[in-house]
Amino acid sequence: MGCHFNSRFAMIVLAGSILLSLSGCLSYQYERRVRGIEIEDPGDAYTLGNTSISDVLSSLGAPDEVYSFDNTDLLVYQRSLFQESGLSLGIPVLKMATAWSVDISATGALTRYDTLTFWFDSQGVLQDIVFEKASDRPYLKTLFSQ
Amino acid sequence: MIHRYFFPLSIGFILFCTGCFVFGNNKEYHPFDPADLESIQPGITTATDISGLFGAPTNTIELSNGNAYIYHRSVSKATLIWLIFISFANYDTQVDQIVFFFDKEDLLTHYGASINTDKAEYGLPF
Repeated sequence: MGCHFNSRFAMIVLAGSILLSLSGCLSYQYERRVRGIEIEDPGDAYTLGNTSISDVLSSLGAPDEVYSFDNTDLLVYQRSLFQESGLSLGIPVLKMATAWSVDISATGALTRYDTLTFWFDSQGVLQDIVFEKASDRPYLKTLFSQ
Repeated sequence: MIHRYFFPLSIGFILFCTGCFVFGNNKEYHPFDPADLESIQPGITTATDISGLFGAPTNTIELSNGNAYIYHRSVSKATLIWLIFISFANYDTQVDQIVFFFDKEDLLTHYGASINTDKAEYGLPF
């Protein structure tokens, strides 16, 4: 009985030591950062040459960015989605015990922007709209695309 | 009976001890009160009135026919989980932003407000 208990205790110590020493050696990391609220496709909600800045501000609230150039004012609504995943392998015990170490890692990070941009003339009348929903694009395919 | 559960419980305890949860909160603070929007009126309120109510703007933009004052603040909520071989992190950042548009006489023409910091949430990244 005593021997049986001792062998189990030894297994626990061994398993614990392996798990603790491997912890952080081989690891997968996944990180996601979102900034801003969802941006929807405006569709036909706004009319070029008719919609005013006030109309857009009333329906969408404050823009994230405001720009002005060449008598044109831009309101930009934007949401960003950052994703990063990585796999790393490193055995620090080897570095402490020997002259060499194993340290391999691979990471891939991608930031996609959903953007809705309105162009207004100096009278505040809508001249153009551009909508881009990049967050719908698949993570891995976009990450490895040229 | 104790011996029967000792091994799995011990392994479970070791696994639990190698994991870690972290919750974080980060604020970019600007002391404006969105309730003050009720007292402003386009065509009457001036840039000086806005500065008196909301303080110094975070940013100003020169427009084709006037200026814009931008008031900005944000809240980020972070959830991080470390397990033995896997770690996850999720950051959700939401913004309160008010933009006031003024004509060349510094009279308020229109404004927009997006109050979203209360929508920032803790959570898993999937």
